Amino acid sequence: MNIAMVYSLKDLTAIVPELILTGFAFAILLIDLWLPKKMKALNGLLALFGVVFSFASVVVMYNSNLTAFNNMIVMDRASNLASVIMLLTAFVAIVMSFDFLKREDVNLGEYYEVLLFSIVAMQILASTYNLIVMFIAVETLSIGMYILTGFLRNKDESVEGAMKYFILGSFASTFLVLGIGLFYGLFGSVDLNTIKASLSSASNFYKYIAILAFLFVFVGFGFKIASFPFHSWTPDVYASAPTPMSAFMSIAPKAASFLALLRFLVVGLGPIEIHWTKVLWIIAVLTMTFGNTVALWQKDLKRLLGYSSIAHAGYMLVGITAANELGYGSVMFYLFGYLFMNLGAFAVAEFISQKEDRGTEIANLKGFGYKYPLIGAAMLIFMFCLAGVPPTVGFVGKYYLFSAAVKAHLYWLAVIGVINSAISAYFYLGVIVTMYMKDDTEEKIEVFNSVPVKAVILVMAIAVLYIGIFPSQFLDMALKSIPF
Amino acid sequence: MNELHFPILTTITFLPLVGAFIVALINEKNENLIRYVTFGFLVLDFFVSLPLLFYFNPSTWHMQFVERVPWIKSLGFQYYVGVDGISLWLVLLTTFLTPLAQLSTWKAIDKKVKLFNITILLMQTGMLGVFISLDMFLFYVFWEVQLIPMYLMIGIWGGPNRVFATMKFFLYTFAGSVLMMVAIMALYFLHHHFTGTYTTDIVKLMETPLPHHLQLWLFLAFFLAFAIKVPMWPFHTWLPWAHVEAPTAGSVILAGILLKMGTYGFLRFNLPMFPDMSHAFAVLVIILAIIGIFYGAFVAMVQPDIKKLVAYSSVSHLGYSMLGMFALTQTGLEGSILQMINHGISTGALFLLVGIVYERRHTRLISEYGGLAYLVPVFAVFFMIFTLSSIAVPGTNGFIGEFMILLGAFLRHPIYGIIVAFGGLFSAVYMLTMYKRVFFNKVTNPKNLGLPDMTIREWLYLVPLLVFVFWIGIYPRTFLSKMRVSVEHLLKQVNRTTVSVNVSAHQEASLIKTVVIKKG
Repeated sequence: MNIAMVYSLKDLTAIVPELILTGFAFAILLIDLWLPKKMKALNGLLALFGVVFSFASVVVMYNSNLTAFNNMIVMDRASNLASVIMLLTAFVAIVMSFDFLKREDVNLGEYYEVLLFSIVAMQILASTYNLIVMFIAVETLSIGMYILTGFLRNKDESVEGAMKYFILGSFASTFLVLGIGLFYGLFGSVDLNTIKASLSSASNFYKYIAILAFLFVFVGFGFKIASFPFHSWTPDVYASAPTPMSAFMSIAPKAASFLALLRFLVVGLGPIEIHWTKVLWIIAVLTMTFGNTVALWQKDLKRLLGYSSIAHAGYMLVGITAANELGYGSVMFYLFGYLFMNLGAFAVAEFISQKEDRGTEIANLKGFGYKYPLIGAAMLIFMFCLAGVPPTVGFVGKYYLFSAAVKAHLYWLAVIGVINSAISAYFYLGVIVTMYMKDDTEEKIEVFNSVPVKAVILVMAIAVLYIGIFPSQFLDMALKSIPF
Repeated sequence: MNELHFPILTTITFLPLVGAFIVALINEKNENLIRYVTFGFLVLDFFVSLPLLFYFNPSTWHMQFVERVPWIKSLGFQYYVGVDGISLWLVLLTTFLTPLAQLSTWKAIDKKVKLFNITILLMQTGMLGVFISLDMFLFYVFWEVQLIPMYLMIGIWGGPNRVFATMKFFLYTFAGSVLMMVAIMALYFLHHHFTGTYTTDIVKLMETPLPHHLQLWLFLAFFLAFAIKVPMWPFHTWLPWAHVEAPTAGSVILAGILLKMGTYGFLRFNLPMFPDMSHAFAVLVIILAIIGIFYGAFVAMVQPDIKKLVAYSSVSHLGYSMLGMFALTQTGLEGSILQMINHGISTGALFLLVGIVYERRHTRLISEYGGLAYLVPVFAVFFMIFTLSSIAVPGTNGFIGEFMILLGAFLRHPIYGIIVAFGGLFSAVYMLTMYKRVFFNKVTNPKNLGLPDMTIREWLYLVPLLVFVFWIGIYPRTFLSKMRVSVEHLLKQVNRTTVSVNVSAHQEASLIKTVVIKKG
């Protein structure tokens, strides 16, 4: 081993955003002990500040290109864009959590701590070319997610969801580590650049084993991004987790995992691109189709969003399958846009939820559009956005993803993709039908009248429209973010 | 900037959007103010659109009143708008028809008035955007955007089966158009492949011919999207549902303008961009159009519901438009465009008239009426005139359109021309039978006795349509002269490749001769 285990202080600059979050997480840990019950809201504010400062550091260092800790951590535009997505999501999720935790009477500091730690893990996952670091990051973020899923510990479903998530997640992790082990066995390295170099000169036999190893690693990532056939946890977990956390989970870990997957596939497995694109082609098609068709039967808004997020993961896989710059950039753009539409939709789910986080059935939205015209209109926008109708960011995002596929001459993939959007329109419209077109019932909808949640809904709706109509600068940012 | 040194098309398109914002600020309770403001904006929009007509230069096929702003620079998408002799009329039809449709809702729509008027205004922006877009991406955005307000309009203010109708409407159109999206992408990359530049500029794409073998799938994808919208047989099944369930204004806009987006799409995309396929598929399209003409007519004959009858007549009338278009002759194309305007006016008016009786009696069943001519004579006269224009009696607009289409079709395919000539007969049968049963015979239903005749507001929105029935019917030159050069150019584009059947405007005269000789 000739790895110099000497790190300089300079290495720390590459992880400033992570360090800031860690610092705030520890601060919450300490301060929480001394806080009287009435002041627990302070934890949330601290977490919010942590996210804001971390975000600021990411923005300041946005264009930097640093490597640290013997190339185990990189900070480039891609990781910074992923950080931006994760931190925005975290910001919104924390804002959504303020009143939620109070209502559910679980206003504990641990919630925010675990949240911050898991964001750190995600940021690290997004900024490494090293498989072992990836594995550690995946595990760390997963533990955070398991805990947050079961955070409503008095609610059976929440605990059950966490158990399910934990067991399936551990299962997926074993495959991930097995795959990494295979790569190490084949090429004697866990660094993606080294693997790439060895792979391009490897014999066919090694290449086949590498494909096997890729499949194992993909189990781990496929689980995180909820792609078919590793998606089965998604609807259960989204439905049972506290709504702000479902919202968070549907975006932030995915942003990190998609970027890690991109690095893994494009850099590490670049030489066998022709093979993994075939696998991903099939998986993308199955993921989209499965997510959309099963969503047709959902009665609960959170479950519906769970299945819809499977479908959206499928759309994003189309971008990776295209295996061109436009495709990779589109994946990042889509994640960025998905943030707003999905957080908005989840915020509406929280808006109609009741004590113990129940009552999110779609049927409860009857007459919603008239009782809450603004929030109803926002939900209408989110639904059209998720279905991919202009002038929303959902349309623009899908347009780029599928056009990347067309550019790569994957016409059938694009056609299957757009047919899927047509199918998905059915259930998204179903929500609108319930909101506006079912006869008004006199029974009053009890809503969770939280000001921060309402603000989130409206801001997200405006963002969805704004980015949908003026996507240029955001698209440039996403297209330029991928350095490989 | 353009000839007028004023972004006139943008103003026309987005004025209704501004109106929608202003209406949104008005208190929901103040329903009359909402109606006045909406109507005011729509009328203003019409007046703003009039300079288009006066300043339009009919001697060139180039796009006019052009505005061009980069939009998504990295991909070459632009905000690029303009009109030629074809889209000019559709823009004017839209600005003309929507205020009339809105005026018809003042009494009919009494719940959620504010939302309804906002919806109409948004729809206006979406529809105008489709007709002025000269960038494919922009076109697609507007094409999809206008689905949302129509979806809401049918779904919220429609009849008892509105949810089914609106879902069917949305999913059909959406499914058709997403395939067009893939075709647009493919066209974008193919254009880059051949010319080295990325562009979605429709004018440029029309100029660069695609190799024969690449045109097939693209043609089919665009065809499907537009055929659903027109709607051509057998893609028409959403239309009767949508029409019957929609509120009156929705039907008027749907028939008058939205369906034209389909025929317009054919003119803008299929014909000039895929000329080889347009020729190859011409006969097939014509056969579908003829089936549509007869099918629409036959089904209309047996409808017990007046509105459904008019809805099926739309399938028939638009069949004519498609026939004229794919005859690929100057006369046929001009007739087809004129028929688009005519259908907007006549069928729009018929829907308005059906709406008037429905408002009073809350039924549209033919059997509920009878002898109305004695009870509401003014209404009967109006209805008569529009019925006659719908069945293309000389002197009305319908006659000119259908005659030109038949002539155009006859020049290219005499057999089809002859067959279709009988279509007119059937439309006379169903329209006149309906008219007889509703307006003549004896007054059988006592409920009809107290029917009031037309109010001033109703006069207001029917008279303008009446004027155009005769204007086009007697002096169509106003309309034809403005579209001639654009149509000639379009025909040149369609005929630019060497295809065996190749009729240009100049060859028509000699063709007529040969036809005459053969007959003699």
